[in-house]
Amino acid sequence: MELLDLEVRRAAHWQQREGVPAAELGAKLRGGEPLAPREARLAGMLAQQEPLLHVGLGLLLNMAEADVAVEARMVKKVRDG
Amino acid sequence: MLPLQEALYEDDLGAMTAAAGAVAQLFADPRARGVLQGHLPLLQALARLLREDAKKSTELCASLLAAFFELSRLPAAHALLAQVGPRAEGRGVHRQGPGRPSRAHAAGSAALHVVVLLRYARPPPTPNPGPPALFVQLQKQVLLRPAPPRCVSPTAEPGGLPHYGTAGP
Repeated sequence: MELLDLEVRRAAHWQQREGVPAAELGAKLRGGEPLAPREARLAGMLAQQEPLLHVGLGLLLNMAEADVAVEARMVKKVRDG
Repeated sequence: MLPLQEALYEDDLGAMTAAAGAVAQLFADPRARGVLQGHLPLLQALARLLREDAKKSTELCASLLAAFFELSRLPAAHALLAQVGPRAEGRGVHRQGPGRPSRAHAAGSAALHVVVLLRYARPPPTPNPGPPALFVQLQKQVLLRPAPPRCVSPTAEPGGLPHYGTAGP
């Protein structure tokens, strides 16, 4: 969980550094528009994170799916902050 | 198995990433998964890497998480994962001091928030369709008349509806 949050914060830092919001980049990628060098660099870095986020969230979902107590603890942690 | 486990203790990040990726591939094999889940030293080595070195490289972190992800597909291995997991988290919390909430705890809550949002995400509320038709009619002071009874012509749809009004046999 800590690692997932680290990656989310990394992505936010990259967006701030490149000055390109991810939503705008996603809209450009969906529209098939050409990307500026900064946007292409950001897209590459975000694409590197995708497998990590996929397996990390999948792991947490698997753990929560199998045991209701684990899921309840997750919800409790989120509610307590 | 032993060379793989020894490679997890290398100083080179590339070697560790390759070894973790190989372990993840082994865990993906259903025949090997059952054998590997009984290999507690390997799991402890993976947990240690995840705790200490995963922040240094995204690829290494992804490989380690992939191994645990494949293992989490086995319901029987969840107890083992829970046994390895809190041990890894507990050391980090202990370093921060008992009275103060750890940074790891605060950071993990955000990722948990994502998971809970995924689990409990509800579809966005539909836009307000506006007042009901009866309310609009009453606002316009239009008299509501009942709809006329539907008359079915004997020749309207042959074979579709029964022919009301015609003399039966």
